[in-house]
Amino acid sequence: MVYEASSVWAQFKYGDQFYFLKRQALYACVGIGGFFLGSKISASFLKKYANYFLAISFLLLILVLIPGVGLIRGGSASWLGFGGFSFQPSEFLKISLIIFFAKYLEKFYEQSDKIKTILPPLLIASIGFILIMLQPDFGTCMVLAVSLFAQIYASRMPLKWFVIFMFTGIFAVCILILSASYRFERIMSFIDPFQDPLGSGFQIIQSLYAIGPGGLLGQGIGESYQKHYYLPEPQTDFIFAIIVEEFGLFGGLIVIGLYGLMFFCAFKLIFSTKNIFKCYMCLGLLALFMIQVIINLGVVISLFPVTGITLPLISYGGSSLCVLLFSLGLMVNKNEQE
Amino acid sequence: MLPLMLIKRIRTIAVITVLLVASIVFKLTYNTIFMHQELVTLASELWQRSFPLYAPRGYIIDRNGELLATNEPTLSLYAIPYQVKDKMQTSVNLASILGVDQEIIFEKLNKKASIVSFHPYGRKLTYGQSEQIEKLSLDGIYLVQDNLRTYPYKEYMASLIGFVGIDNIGFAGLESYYDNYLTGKRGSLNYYMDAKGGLFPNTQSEIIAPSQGMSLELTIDLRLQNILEREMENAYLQYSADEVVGIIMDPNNGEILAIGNRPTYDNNRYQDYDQTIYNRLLPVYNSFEPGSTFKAITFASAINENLIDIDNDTYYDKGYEIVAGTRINSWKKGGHGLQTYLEVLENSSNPGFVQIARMLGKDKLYQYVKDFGFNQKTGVDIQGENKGIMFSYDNFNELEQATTAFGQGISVTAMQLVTAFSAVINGGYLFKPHVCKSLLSSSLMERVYEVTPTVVRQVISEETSKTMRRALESVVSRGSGRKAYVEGYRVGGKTGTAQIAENGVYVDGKYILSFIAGAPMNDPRLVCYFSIKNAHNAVQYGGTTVGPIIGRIIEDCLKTLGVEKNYEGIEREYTWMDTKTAQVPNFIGKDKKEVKSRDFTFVFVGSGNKVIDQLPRVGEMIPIGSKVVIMLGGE
Repeated sequence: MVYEASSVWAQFKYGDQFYFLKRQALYACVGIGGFFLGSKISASFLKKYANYFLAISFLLLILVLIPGVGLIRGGSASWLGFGGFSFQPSEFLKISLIIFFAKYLEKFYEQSDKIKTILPPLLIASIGFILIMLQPDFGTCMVLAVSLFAQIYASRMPLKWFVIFMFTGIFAVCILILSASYRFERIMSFIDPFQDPLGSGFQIIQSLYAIGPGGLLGQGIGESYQKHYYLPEPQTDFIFAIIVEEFGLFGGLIVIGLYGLMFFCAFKLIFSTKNIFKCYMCLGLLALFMIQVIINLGVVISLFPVTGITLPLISYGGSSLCVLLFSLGLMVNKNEQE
Repeated sequence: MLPLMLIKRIRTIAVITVLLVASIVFKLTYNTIFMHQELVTLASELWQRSFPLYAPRGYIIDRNGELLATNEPTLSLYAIPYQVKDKMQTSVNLASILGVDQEIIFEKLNKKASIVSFHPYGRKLTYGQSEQIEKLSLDGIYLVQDNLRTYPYKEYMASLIGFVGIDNIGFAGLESYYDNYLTGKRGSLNYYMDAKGGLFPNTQSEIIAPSQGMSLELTIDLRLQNILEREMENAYLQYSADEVVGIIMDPNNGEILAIGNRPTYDNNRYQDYDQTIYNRLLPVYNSFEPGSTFKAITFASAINENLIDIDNDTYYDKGYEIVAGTRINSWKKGGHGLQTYLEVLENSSNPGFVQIARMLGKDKLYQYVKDFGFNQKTGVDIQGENKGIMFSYDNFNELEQATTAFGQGISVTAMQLVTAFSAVINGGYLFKPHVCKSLLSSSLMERVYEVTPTVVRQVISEETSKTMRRALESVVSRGSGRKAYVEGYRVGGKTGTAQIAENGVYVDGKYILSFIAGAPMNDPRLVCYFSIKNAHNAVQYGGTTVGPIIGRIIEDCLKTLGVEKNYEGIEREYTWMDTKTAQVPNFIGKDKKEVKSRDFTFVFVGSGNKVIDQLPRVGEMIPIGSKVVIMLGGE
């Protein structure tokens, strides 16, 4: 699918229509390795070293911000390079924070109805958010925040605090939106994309032009019009638009159905687990996965404003693919002994 | 076991997830199924590009199928900027071929447009230009078929036919008047293009063929037009005239057989001329004082009202007539004396027409002038028609009535005059003149619409018309129109000499010399009007200067139309102007008995048998039949 969506751009940019396919295949191999690696790591090991993982993640994040060390891609200084490969430390932060929260919530489950219990981990998480926002990477921040929110929700915290959280969150998001004009434009263009069809509404319109004509059964494999430079980055953020354009509503529903199946299995796994730490960890990782899927699909079908979040497992992108597969590996680990 | 509250809360998260996924499914379905048609339309606009394919215009042909306006295939230049690799080199090459600044082309090639055209220098290229461009085979530069409108007869009929602009839209003349019919339906070459201007792979470009416009068949007869053009050209050059105007019409249906004017222009190169030349067809655009040609109208009105018996009623022309304190003179000093009304017309006697105006009276005269179509548009299918000028009814007093009766103080177009004159001789029917005979399919095989003659009204009776034919014929054979006489074709007509008024004042020595005539008078086939404005080195008299021209036009046209000659008409009468003359021989010294001659009659004075003197003297040229006075004397 990555090949399908990207061949035209790849041909144009790198002179090789298979460019993205080759790289994605390589990442997939690494990712599958990561999956098996993850499935071998027991929950107790993770729980034991959770604090260290978090510390290392913070260190890497700080490293990224040091000029000359971090690689700047697409306007964000979020990459660290080793030899020929590069990765995003923020991906590791996501997992380590979720593990850290899981450990903390298990430990203080009974006291978690008091707000002061929750405050220390929230403060730690805030440091992470600030570091990520310095890159800046709003999308990652939001995804992580929602995941941690889901974990906290699953504690004994009274609902009134969530209402307060919600408002604070909305307030914070508003501040963030207003603090960067491009975010504000995205929101405006979401409300009426045709007002500025060549500017901020461009991506939304182009996405609709891919999806609408797709119809019930699509234009057929390789028959996408929109991937011919109309839709920017068709292999990442808008890959679902190309899927629907070529395979129609039918193809789109199959993809959504597969994700739904994965969610279902994950929830089943969470309910069947007897270990509170494992339950929290899986819930966090699942939320991380789900929120990316839902936001990406929502953006593509113009249900949400454009955010720049890729579609897990399908979009092009090595770091994301590997980390996702690794985290799925962590979830399927059967070892629940203390 | 997990705490119950944890399970409950996670269950809530699962429910929220289900709701979110469901809303995504719903929105996706909405977009792909319900918005499908609308988005397909919008997206197609985004993907589809089209090259215009210009439709050829319909032809314009004369009544015998001769092409008067046709199309020459040519090529126009287009560029797809994205596909032009070396924009600098391409612009340099094109600039030298097209003869424009390199920068202009360079700028065009850098436009953010899918297709650019080069207007106007890149449209309708010459054969040489397109060949050079073809040879260079430049990337992204295309030559697309176009049509160049051409007029094979150039200056002939230019004012009538007009021309088209660079986009093949009619700008002047019939090209403009009938533009909707002549314009074809533009076609296009549609294809799908990616966002950067490249062709989509695996897509078919679709050609919507342009369809040619309808063709126009004119009532014009090219053969007659050529005769008229020849005479207009000659008169224009010979007399260094300001303007020459000519119309030939079929009086039986209002069809215009030939029409034109000088000065004219070449409509293939209209850009080279001033707008004042090409924007008007003088026979319908100009109005002027008709002068004596108008007398035919007044005369017919009086006959129709049974006011005059042209053979028996008489009028004594003493040389002038006083109207409302103003003296109106006859053109002949001392007047024409006692005349029948037929002679009043033959001699074009102004005082005689003053009398006719008095007999008709204000209302009748006014009504007839209007009924003959003056002071209103004829409705001819030609642009820019003038309706002329006439005194308003309230100002139509005695003097105005008198001058209008002999064609002064009224302004008419040549078209109005020809239409009215046709009614005078065709049995009384005023037709709506027209120049479009029919609309044909582009293949010229099928008649789509045929113009039928329209009778506006019957102005005079058949009987009056018959009398008028005889009267007008007599003007040509015996009166002021003698010079238009054609042996065997019974020409009937009326001369006209009108002073040109500039800013309301008559200018001395500037005249419009005109002649209107129909033929043959036993069965009118055509009416011809011809006028010369401000002729130099010419006798400033319509009959003398234009008469011979009308004669030639009518003779050539009737011969072309295959009309048989007929010798039953009124015999030509010779006057001093063109009578046969003979030299007076010497009779002095001869006996009275010897004084004899076939050419002369004699009056004898004195007594005796010998001729002692004679008048005129020996050797003088005098008209045959003249009297020679012989003085007798001797033993």
